[in-house]
Amino acid sequence: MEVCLEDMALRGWMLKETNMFYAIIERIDPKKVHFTVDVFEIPKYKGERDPVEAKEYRDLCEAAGWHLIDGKGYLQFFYSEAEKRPNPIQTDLGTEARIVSASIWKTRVTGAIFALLFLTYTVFSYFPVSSVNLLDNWNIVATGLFPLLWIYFAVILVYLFRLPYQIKKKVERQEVFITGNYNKAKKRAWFLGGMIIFGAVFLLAVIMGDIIGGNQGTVIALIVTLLVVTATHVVNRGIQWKHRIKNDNLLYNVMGIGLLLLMLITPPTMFISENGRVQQPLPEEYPLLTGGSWGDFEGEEPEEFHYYTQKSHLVPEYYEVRYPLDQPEVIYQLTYYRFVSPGVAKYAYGLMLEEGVQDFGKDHHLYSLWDVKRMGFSGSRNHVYILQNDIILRIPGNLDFRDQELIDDVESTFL
Amino acid sequence: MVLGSKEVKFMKKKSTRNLTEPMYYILLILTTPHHGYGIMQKVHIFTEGRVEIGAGTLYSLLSKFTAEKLIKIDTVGERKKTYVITEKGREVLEEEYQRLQRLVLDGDRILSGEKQS
Repeated sequence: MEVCLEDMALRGWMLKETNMFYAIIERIDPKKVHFTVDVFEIPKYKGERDPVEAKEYRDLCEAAGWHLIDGKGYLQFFYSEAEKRPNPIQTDLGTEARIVSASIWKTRVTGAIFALLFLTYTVFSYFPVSSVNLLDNWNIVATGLFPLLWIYFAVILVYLFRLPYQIKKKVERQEVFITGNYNKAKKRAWFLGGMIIFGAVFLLAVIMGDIIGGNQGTVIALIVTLLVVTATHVVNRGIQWKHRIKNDNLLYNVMGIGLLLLMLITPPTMFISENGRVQQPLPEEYPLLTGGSWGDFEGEEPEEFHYYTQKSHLVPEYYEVRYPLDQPEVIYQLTYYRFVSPGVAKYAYGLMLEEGVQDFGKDHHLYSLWDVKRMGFSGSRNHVYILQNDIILRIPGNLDFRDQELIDDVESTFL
Repeated sequence: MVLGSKEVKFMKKKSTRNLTEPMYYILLILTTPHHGYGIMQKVHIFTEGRVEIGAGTLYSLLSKFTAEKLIKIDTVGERKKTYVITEKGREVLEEEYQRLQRLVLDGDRILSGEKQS
């Protein structure tokens, strides 16, 4: 890092401010500046950084010729314009190693805990696969995506723990350890930077999805990230172009393009999925219109005459509709799912069983009356689920299921 | 912080009986009260530049010694604190001094014996 900062100063860029998320670089006349980065966490007093301790440490550094640039985190950035490089801030390697080890351990463990919390949250949000997940494209994607993300995070977690653990153990055993060099640090920064960006995008997407709801939140999150990443990239490139700085980092370009592609592809995909769920008027030729006494309606179309053309690509047809079953004057609410194939419908029914639906069992007398594949009660016995070919129908559980008129009506209209 | 890619051997961690050079000189200098920067300068002069104590190292060791009651704060001025060695610190310093003397004597005995033979 020091080599990098010194190189930048020679090219006319001076570090002015830095924190965990960004660094402000100031344009200066190119000159030789010495930099040093000390790993030092200011002791805390009642939860706040002790200003006396911080001042004492920094005054000592100042007296030794190192001027503080910034030190909000555990990294303290100093510079010196003296001709001769001042003495290093750390001169006792044993003491330094213990400070570095403790600071890295603390930081990495904190990072790993956050990653773990995020991972747990996502896993609990989308696993195990539920029947509801099949109804939503984002959930289908997420169900497949999060195991991959989990592997990605698992690798990162191992990586996060490996280095500080090795250093810690070696410090304890008073053994030799070899620190990284500039090139290794650059590669590590890209690796971890990628993790932070991907993690932030998914975290934002999941949170926004939960706050705003479903795909909309996710889309907003991804678009916001897209705009931020694109704007940063464009500004960065603009600065480089203006000052004729050549960036020969292939990895940077590949990652940048990859990220942009991901951002460009994902929101439209989500929008397509979202548009598929927009409520549309029920077509006149739709069989439901002839299935009961809907009657004439004037003025605004009632809510029940809207339906979703598609819930997800696995459930091409889905709607909730009120329908007069059993008794013409009583309107019941039905939920209709048509799956992409009988196999998927059977799989979804199986998931429903795992989620509390109780199958009547093969010997149940209703199977002699109903020409359906499977029937079962919801856990609360409020609904009956019927599986027939590629269709699952959920109807109220308080009907007389032995009534032949009802059976004929349901079978002819829906199944 | 400059560690570079060189190999680093660590000295014993916990025991303050086996003092590192910076530890030893800090305690030695603090037999009379000094402030932080004064310690750095004094060690530089005293060892003719052979031993340099960095600001971060000094700060960490002063904190460690204060916590272990080997030194104590003598005066607190507007800008500077001065430190001085405690009785316990003096004992540790004496012990280290004796140990170093034994090392020199042992070395003398063997090396001078080698020369004689």
